Amino acid sequence: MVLVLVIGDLHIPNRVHDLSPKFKKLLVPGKIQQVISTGNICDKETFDYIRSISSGEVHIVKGDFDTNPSFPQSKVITHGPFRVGVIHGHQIVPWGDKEALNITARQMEVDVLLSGHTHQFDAYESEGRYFINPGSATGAYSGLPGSADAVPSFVLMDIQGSTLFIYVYRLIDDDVKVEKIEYRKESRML
Amino acid sequence: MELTYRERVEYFKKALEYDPIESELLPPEEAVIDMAYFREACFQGIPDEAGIRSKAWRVLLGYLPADKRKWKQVLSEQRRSYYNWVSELLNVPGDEPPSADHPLNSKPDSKWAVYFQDNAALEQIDKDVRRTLPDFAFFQLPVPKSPLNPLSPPIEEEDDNDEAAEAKKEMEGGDDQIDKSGRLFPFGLGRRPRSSSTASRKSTKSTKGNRSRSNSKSSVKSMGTGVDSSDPLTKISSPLNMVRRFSHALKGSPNPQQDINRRLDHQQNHQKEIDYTKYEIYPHILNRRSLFKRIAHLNKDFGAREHQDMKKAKAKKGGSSPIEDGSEEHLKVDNYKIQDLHWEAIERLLFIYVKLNPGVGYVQGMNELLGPIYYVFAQDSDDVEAQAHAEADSFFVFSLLMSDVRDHFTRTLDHDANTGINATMTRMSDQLKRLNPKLWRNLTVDKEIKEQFYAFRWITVLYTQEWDLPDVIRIWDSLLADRCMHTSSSATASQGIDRFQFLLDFSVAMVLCVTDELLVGDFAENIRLLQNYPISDLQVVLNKAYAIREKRMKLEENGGFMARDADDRASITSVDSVNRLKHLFNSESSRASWDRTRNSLDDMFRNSWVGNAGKRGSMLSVATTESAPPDMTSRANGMVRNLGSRFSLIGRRSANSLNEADYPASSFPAVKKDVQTPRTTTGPSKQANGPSVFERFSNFVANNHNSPLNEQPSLSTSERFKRDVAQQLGPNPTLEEEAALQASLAARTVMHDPSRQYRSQDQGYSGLI
Repeated sequence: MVLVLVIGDLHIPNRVHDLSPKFKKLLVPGKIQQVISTGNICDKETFDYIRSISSGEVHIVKGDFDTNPSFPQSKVITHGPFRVGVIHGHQIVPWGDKEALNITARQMEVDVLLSGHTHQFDAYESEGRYFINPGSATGAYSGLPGSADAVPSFVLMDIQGSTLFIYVYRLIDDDVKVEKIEYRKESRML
Repeated sequence: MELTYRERVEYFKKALEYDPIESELLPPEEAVIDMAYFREACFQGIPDEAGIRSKAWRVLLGYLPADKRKWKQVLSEQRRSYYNWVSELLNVPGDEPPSADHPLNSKPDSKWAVYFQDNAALEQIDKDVRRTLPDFAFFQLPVPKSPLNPLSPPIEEEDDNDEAAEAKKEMEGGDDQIDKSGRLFPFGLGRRPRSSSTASRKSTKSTKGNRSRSNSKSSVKSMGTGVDSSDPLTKISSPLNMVRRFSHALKGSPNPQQDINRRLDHQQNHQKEIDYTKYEIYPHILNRRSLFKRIAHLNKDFGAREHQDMKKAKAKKGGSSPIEDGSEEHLKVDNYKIQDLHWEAIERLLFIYVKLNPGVGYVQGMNELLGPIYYVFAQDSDDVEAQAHAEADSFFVFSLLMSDVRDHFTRTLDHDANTGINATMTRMSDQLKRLNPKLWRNLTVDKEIKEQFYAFRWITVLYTQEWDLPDVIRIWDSLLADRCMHTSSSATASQGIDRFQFLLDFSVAMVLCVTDELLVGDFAENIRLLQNYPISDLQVVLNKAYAIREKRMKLEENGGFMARDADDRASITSVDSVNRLKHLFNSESSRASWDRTRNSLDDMFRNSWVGNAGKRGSMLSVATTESAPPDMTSRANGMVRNLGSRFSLIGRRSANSLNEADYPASSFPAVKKDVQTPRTTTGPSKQANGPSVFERFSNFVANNHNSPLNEQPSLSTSERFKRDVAQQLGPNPTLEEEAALQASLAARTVMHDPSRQYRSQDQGYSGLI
């Protein structure tokens, strides 16, 4: 079993000055084996902090506000039976559109697609693939219409064989709320 | 007790004969083992016949009572509780509602928090267990399948159901389906041809004994297929039937067809088969492998995590893409049908032990202790039931053994000279002193070889590192028998320390057997000799140990033991400077002025300390160097650094005393040579777990510095001097006095440091360290 943190759209320091202390208290080293970031972390200090949480690898993709040129645009990570694709999401137009994301997932040949950019948590299954948007960990403002007050959120994936448990951490009224979603991969014909 | 081998075997067979049903009905005189006689017999060694030793050890350690009528109940209760623990303690969190508990919960009562803590211990166990007796293939083999063992994959029903389901799928689906099932379920179609061949191969082997072990696996497979094709009506649902069916299979069959025939001949063969119905069946534990999944992300390349099934599946698939490969592997890992390997069983066992004994925790070396126990139990081919429950039984026997040697493993006791491993080694030293004062004086006083340098490992892991497994098992026969004697005799049982007297007898015997070599060799040679013990014939040492034990027992009977001991200590150890200090302080109408004491101390330094310190200073380098071409110097430097970090505290002190004490250097040619050409390191520790033992050892030597009443020549004398002075000054020496002391030390250092030639070298060392 592997615990994978999915976090993104922090926008520090451009839009928010720091991660909520409540979240910082949760995100301590020693538990999480891998961190996947959907991008837009922005400054190096935050990036270093995120790296310190993980006891294993850190995978990161480039968001539209990331300045580090070495981050890739997208990435595919294999976790047992799961092929997990990561992309920031500003490349996929219309932004956050399910159909467009579906096309991307097919192109990347992934079972789970992680994307960000909309600052809205979302997790759903579509055509045998699973889509997760961890939202913005800082609840930063996004230019998208209707997302004026984004809820800070991140996602923790617990991969146990062919089952994916998703813990959603949300900060509602300065209170951490945890939700659990289960996704079981059907043994599809590849 | 003079019996022939055959008579002894007969005796053991009779004494330990056990059948879950019949033994309950035995008359008392047959059912109860005469423990006194039995212990004596075991002490002389337990015959290597099948089934004897594993039962004898169970009895010796008190896991089984002497009354055989109670065995069934005891075994049943204990095994049941072990399997309960397994199913409970291996649970992975995640069932709770997320509002109550979640992975990032930091509250101490959170299941997840506990889980993360456990994982740390588990990783440590995993690292060690993988290298338990690495030269024995046994531990890398799968635990044989058995219907009695709830920790072995459930064989019949599951396989049949799967196959039936598969067959159904194949009917429904097209070609694709067949392809898929062939890939995902190697238990199915693809297995059939192979099973017959392995079965035949194994069955030829089985004539050489070890029957149930080699057969169980292969024959089960052939049986599974045989049933499906022959009579679906025998589809089994109740465990009892399942067991009955398994017992057919156990006989092994060259091919499935014969297997069917044999089933028809059931009635005729009946008495030869192993009848499982009389044994208790425990429910299968489905999460038994969850433990290994937790740490599956570690060590992906070393140690056989994947099993034959997966390898076969992979080999069969051939040219598939790597991605598919990976995904399939994980599907297989999910599958609880995988057999455990023996070392995995040990890992699980240790984890359960650690969970249940948080006070002791996991300490390296436990795996070494468990190795022989588990090996003996799992090898027991005579008793199917005992073999099936080897893990559960090993657990309890191990726990009982640990309750005796726990003190050796408790780190907090390392600090005190009167408890834990220190006390044991002091007692060993005393015994050596009694038996061979000359050798003792030579080792301890002249060469300053502490028992810690060699006996630490002997005693903590009960010789498992020193001898080969068969020898270890033989030594343990005597050890356990001896222990048993002490637990039952009320006189010594009260002072629990005496339980493992034979342990000390044996280590003293090991030292005494190489007396001549020890007296001739210098420090480095002696250490090397004792750490790589040269005698490979166990009987020599064992006879010596028996002689020692006889002598000791006689002494104990005479009662003059303790008094003499005290006398010896007073006269002999006064040579040691610490005690001389104490003598000085105590005898010279103690409250003498500080100056006067210091003067007398100074005298002492001139007379004996400096010389000793010179030797002490050489200790580190001598211990770590060995004759080798001098061109390896650069490599040696690295290793010295390496060792230095391990030794850090001793090392620093040794370097100090080198600085201070090379003034009579000419009288120590050996020192000179070694210091000038540091050469390759002789691993001070023998096997893979050496460093760890050493780490602990160095800590422990360092810690001894803090304990008031021990004699540790391994501390540099300046430290000891300071300490003793500090003791004299009382708990809180004033700053002034401290300063005066420092000054006097510094002055002496300069004074005694006329030869500058080593200076640079020494600094080089301290830099490295």
